[in-house]
Amino acid sequence: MNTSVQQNPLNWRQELGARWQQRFNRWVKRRIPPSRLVVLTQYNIFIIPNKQGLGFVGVLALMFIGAVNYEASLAFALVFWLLGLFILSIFYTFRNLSGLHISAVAGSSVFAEEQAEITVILARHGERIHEAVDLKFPNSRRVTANLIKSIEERSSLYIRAEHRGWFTPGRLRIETIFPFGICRAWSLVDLDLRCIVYPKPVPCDLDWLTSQQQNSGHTNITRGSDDFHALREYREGDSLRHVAWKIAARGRGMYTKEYASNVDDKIWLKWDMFPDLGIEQIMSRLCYCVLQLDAVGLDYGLELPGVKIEPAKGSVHYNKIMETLALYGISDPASDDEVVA
Amino acid sequence: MIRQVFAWFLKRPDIKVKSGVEIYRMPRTALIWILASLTSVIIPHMLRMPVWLTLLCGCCIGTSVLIFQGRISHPGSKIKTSIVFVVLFAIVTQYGRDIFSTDAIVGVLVVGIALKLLEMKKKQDVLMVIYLCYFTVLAEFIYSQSIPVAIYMALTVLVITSALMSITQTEEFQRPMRTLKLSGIVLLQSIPLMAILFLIFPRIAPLWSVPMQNSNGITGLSDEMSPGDIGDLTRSGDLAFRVEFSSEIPPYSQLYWRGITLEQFDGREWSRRRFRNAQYLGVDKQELYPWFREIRTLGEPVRYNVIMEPTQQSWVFTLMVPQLTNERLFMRREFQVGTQRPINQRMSYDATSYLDHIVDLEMSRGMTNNNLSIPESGNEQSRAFAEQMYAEAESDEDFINTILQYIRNNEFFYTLSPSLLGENAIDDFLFNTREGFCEHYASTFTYLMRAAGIPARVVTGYQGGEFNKYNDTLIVRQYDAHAWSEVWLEGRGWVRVDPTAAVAPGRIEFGSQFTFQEDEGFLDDEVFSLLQFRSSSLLINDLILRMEMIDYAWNRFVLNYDQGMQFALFSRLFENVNQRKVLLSLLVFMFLFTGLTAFMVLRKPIKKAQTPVNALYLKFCRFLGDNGINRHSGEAPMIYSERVAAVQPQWATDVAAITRLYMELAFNKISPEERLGKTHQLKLAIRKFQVIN
Repeated sequence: MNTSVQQNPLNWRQELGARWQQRFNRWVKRRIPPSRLVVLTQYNIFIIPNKQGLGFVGVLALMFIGAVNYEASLAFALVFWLLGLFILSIFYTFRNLSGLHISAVAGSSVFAEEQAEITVILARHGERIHEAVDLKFPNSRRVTANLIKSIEERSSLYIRAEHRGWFTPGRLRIETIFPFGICRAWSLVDLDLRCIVYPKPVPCDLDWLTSQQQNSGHTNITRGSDDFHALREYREGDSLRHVAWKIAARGRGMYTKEYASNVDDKIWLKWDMFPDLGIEQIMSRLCYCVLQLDAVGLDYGLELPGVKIEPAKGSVHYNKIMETLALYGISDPASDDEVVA
Repeated sequence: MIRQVFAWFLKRPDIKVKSGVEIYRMPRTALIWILASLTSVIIPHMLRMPVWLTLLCGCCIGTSVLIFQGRISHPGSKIKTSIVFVVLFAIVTQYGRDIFSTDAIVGVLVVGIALKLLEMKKKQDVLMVIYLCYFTVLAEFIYSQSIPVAIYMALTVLVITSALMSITQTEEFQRPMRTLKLSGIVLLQSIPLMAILFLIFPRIAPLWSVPMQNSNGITGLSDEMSPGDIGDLTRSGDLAFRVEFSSEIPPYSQLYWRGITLEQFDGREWSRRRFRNAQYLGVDKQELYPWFREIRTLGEPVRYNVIMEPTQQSWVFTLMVPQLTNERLFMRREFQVGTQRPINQRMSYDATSYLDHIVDLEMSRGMTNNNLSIPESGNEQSRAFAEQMYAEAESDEDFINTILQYIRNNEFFYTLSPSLLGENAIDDFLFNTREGFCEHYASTFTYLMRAAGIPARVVTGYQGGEFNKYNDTLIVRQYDAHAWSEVWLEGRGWVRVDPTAAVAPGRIEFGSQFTFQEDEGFLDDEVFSLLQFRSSSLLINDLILRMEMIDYAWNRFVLNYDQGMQFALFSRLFENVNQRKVLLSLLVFMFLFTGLTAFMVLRKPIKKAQTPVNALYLKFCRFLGDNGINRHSGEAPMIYSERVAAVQPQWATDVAAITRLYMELAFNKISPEERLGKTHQLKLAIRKFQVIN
């Protein structure tokens, strides 16, 4: 370690920076614990003059030298006046954040490598206005919110969700330099947000897959085509999948194929359908299958090592399957327990 | 209408943002603020700057608007470099050898801001412009610190501060009046801090001397005097200095404010003798010199404080014979008091004088000769006249009286617009025109003395002044300028003789204004001044004196606040003033005032009194709370409503409707009739909700 310090000062500096960052993060975590609703007060607002502020003080120093040299009383007064402004700007910048109520809503689930939407809600109570408040998650663009006439302001921030599993946007940085841009007040709040990121769907040949399964003697995917019962006129709400397209193509009108009630169109999605792939690829392909099957309206079940979900359909089932795919083999950041062994 | 003009003015194309590159886009209102600050900061400098500089600023402002609108792009580096070179060359040509003078520095500053306008690409560039504007305000105070300038500059600071604020604001939420109001409030709240720092912050002596090139021609006495010079000063009502006596005020006719002694005469012009040994004598060294020790003073001293306007000369005005009390002042052999450097700022000094005195009983031969020398040729007639009269006189005193008698008895006129004098100015005046102002009389009288062998010299300064009954100060203006003589008599030393008194006693008894107010030429430079009308109206005279009083207080207590006054203030507070106590008190006061202001700024926003609408809503919240969904303290109504809907979906519509109604009543501006109706509606809705559930 020591030799590398001497050889490469940049590394050393970076390392120190990283260590410092770590310490700071730990401290912030203790100072501002995660909470759904954060009210900004003197306990969680940091404030420090920024670069422009230092420039301002520098200009004041030059002006002071000018005042000394020309012995002009009003020049002294001007310098002191602006110094007063500088001191007051610290309070005013602080005030611009103080009393803000911050909460956030994570948007609906996303697939990996898509933009997750987080809606940050700023609310004020009382007459004090909050102007030009910047909001930013570590990997999002900066959004500026103003609570001048409104008492509540919603801002959407988008962050790319890289991997499936639990997505936490990190600490929201809420920052302002209003009113004079010479001080920066900020806070890093953890709004206790997380949303599930589904695996990125990767297309695979569904037909090939089913035929493979049948040829190899597995009967887990059984199609109900043999139990075709009757045709009846198409009614609104019928699945397009069950339309007799061959008849429609001949121009004889739309008919819906009816199946016998004992039709068994249950499909099992299994871990070993993709024997040569790694876990992420398997999840991606299974996700694609689920999307396709859900669109078709078939019953499908999921069987992974240690997990078995009976075939069914509907949005509750869909969500359950997708969540399982999203979290399979991933530890829960909140509980630090393995969801699946 | 104004808004439409502004909208056109700041029309802006959509810039295609290159991905990854964040381009700084200044809010459009900010540009208006910046241009307004720049304009208002330059206006007072405009009078002193060369015209092309003002035009350049105008061009830069116009161009910056075009750049902002996207009509033209930012100048490239080649164009920028060439512009800078051309402008620098122009400045060097303009100011030449005075390139380090304040005028030139201010010129460069103004040009710098104007050119920076063309380069406002990044936020730092914009800030630079704003900071430089603050600096330019300071530059104005080098030239003028009068009350109107101070007020104007305070407003300018307000505009600049608004510009500073506007660049932190979001474009669509900018309202100029709100920006101005908030800046104004913060600036007002900074005033106590400013006052504390102003009073207590230790003042330091200048770090280096700064050259001044004062572009305003200053009217005042110079160190040369030819016929007509002093008369010209009566055209001006400008303030020369103000005096506040701390002892009994001497009689008006004794108020001879001695400026400089002129000992060299070339037949027409009197001038100061330069390059003399032991020119200046500081307060600590004066006892070493016999001529100083031998001053004999009689009677009570006159003590006074003078606040003098800048003269660009290095002498001050005192009554004869002065005693040095001030370390910054020095005394010359001729009892003339001066400073080391030219006085380019208003200056205040305390002085003590003994009006009854005997000085220079013994005088060196060199000095005697200096005060006897007259040109060898010219003014023959006068010389002969002096020699003849002296021969007839019984003593030196008798001779002086004869000459004064001569002036009194012949048809001499005291006038502001005398006939021009020929080559032999003294002869011409004495025997031909016989019209003149005080310098004519002083010059001629001194010449006659010297011709007769009596050492004599001309003294210029001011005589009299005007008493302001409102603050007991004496105001001495340029038109009080005067010239008189001093003669050296055996056994009496230097004695003041004022030949003007022989021709116009009123001038000495009542002042210049009394003597000349009806004359042509008097106060000619003051066409628009109230001084013109003071004789015709008592009211205006009163007004002038009152304004003068305010101005005096401003000068005495604000502009002249310096180390000395600071020390005096501390002496009143502490028994033994030392550095530590001063710094400590500075800290204590700073903390106190900062704390007070912080309290004012940060105190909890006043909660609105419970309105019926709020009471209804809180009752509704309590009801929901009783049903298991407590509203967190400070939870926004809409968020609460969503939370209730999530727990009790069957209530969702009712709760949302009630919340919406409440929000509308609580935060929207609605007419009183509508408010009454909606409040009733809210009451019914809540009651219904409670009954059903």
